Amino acid sequence: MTEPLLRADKLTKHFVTPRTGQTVRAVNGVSFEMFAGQTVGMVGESGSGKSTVGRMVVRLLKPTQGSVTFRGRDIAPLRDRAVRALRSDLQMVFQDPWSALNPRMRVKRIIQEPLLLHSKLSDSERSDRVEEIARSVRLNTDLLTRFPGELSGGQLQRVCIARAIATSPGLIVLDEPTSSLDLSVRAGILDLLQELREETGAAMLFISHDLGTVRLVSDHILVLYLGHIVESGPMAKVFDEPAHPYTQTLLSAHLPADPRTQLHRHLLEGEIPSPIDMPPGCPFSTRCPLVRDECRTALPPMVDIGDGAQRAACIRIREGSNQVPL
Amino acid sequence: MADLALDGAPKERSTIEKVWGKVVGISRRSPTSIIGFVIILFFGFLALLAPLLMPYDPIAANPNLILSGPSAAHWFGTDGNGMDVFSRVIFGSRFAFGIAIPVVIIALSIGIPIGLYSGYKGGNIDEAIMRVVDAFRVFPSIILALAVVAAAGPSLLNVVLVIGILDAPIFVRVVRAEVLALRSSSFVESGLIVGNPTWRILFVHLLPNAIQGAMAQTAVRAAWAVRISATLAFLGIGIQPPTPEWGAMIRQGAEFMVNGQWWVGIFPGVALILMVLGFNMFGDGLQDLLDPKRRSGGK
Repeated sequence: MTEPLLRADKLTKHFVTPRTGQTVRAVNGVSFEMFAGQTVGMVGESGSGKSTVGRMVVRLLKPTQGSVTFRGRDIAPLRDRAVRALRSDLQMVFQDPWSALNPRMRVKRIIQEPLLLHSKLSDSERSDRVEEIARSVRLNTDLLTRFPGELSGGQLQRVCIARAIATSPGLIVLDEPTSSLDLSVRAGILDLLQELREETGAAMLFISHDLGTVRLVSDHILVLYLGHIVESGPMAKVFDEPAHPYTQTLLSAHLPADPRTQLHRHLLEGEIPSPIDMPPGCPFSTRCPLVRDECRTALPPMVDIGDGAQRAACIRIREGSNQVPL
Repeated sequence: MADLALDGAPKERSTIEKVWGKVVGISRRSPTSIIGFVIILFFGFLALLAPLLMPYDPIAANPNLILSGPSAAHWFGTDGNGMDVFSRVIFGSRFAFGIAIPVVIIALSIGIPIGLYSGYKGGNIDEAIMRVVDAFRVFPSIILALAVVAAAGPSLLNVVLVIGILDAPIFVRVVRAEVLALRSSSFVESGLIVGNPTWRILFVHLLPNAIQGAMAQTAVRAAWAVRISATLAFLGIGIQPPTPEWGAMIRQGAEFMVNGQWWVGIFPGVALILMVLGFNMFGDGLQDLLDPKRRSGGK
C-alpha cells in the first residue's frame, strides 16, 4: 500500500469566544487520508467544521490537538516561517472570489506572486509562466493587466485557481469554490477543476455543502457533522448505500435533477446543535430518527462496512437496523 | 485599441484630460478646497521665490528705521529691530513649509507602520499600542510639545521632531481602523496562503488598501503643524527671534501692539491665518475625495 500524501489524525480545533470565554468545539478528532491525485469531497451543513478542517490541513489554522502529516512530515507543530516554505506545495482556493483578491493588484501580479515568493525565475520567465497558467485556466490573457474589480465572478475564481496552481502544488484545498457563483458559471469552473486534476495530478480536498457538486468531482466522500466525521467512503458507495442515518437524511433532502422523480424524503427537525453546547454521546443523537438511549452516553466508533472501504460511526450498523424509513 | 473603439468603449483619454476632469469634479463638489489649494500654491510660490521677492534682507537690522509704519519703501513697516516686515513675512513662508512638510512625513512614517501592525496583529499587542495612543490623545499636545521642546532645546530640528512624533498617533488610529475593516476580508488570508511573510502582508497587501484615510488627513495635519509650531514660537519656546518665523514675529508684535504699532504683529498674523485656512480648506476637500465614508451625494 502506498503512503498517503496527507494523513490527518484526530484533528481537533477548539476556539475560545473572546467575550464569554466559552469553548467552541469546531472540530473534534477528525481523521482521514488523502492520496496523490485523489479528489476528496467533504460535505456537511454550515457549522459542521468543514472549513476549519480545510484551514488546518493547509495550516492557516493551528490545530488544538492532532497531527497533519503531509509528505511524511507532521506540519501541525511547525512555526509560521516553516509553514511559509510549504506554501508552494500546499494551496487553497477560497469561497468568495470577490474578496479573495487584493483589489489594488493587477491580475498578473496576483498570479505571479507565488512564483515571486517561491521560485528563482527571471522576470521574463515569470511573465511567460503567468501567461501559460492563465491559458491553462482558460483566462483570456488580455485580462492580466486588469484589476480584480473589472472581472466577473467566474473570471475572478479562475484567477484564484491560477494563483493556487502556479507553483504546481501537491494538494489544493478548495473551500466551496463554486457556491458563490452563478449556476452557469459553476459548471465551467467544475470542468476546469476536472481538467486540472488530470493535467497537474494535484490532490484536491473539495469542501462543499452541495451534494450535487461534490458528486461530480469526488472520488471519495467525507461526511462531517458537528466537527465529527460520521461517514467516509468511495463516492459511489456513499451515494448508493449511505450507512449513517445522517448521510441518509442528507441525501434524501437533496433534490434530483429530474423533477418527476418520486421523492422519498426524511426531513430532519430542528437545527444543528451549537458546538459550544455539544450533546454527549453521538453528535447526531439530538436529531436522529433512530436514536436509542445508549446513543446519548458514548461517542460511537467508526465501523467498517463491507470490505472496509466505507466506514460510518453508528452503533446500529452492526445489527443492520441503521436504515432510516423513507 | 482599435477593436475596443468598435465596441463603443470610451476613447482613451490623455492623462491631462483625466486630471482636468477630476479637478472640475472636485471644484463642483467642494469649491472651498480649490480656494485652499490656490492659497497653498500662493504660499509655495512665495517660499520658492523668496530671495527674488524680498526687497530687503529679512534679518538686516536698520537702527535708523525702528518701528516705522507702512510706507512706500517698507510696505508692511519695520519691526523693533528695524527689520523689514514685508521681507520677513515672505521669508516666514519657508519656515511654515519647512515645518509642515517634514512633520507630516515624520508622522506618516511612524504612524503608518504602527497602525498597520497594530490592526493586523490584534489582541494584546493592539491593546497595548492603542492605550499608548490614547495616552497621547488625552494629554493636551501643546503642553506636551512645550515640555519636550523646553527640555530638548528650541532648535528647528527639535520642534519638527517633537511635533512629528506627537502627530503620529492620529495616523496610527486612522490606519489601524482601516486595517481592522480589511483584516477579515479573505485577500489577507489568501496573501498568507501564497506564502507572504508578515512585512509583505502589511506593506504590499494592506497598505495600498488602507492608506486613503491617512492621506486624507495630511493637509489638515499640516495646518495643525503650522499652527502649533507658531504657537510654540509665540510662547518663546520654539524658534527664537530674530529668525523670521511668523509665531516669533507675532510675539514681538504683541509687545508693540499696545503702543499702536500694529503692523509688526498683524501682517505675520494674517499670513499665518491664511496659510492654516488654506491647508484646512484643501484638507477638507481631500477628505471628501479620498474618504468614501465622507463622500456624500448631494450637498
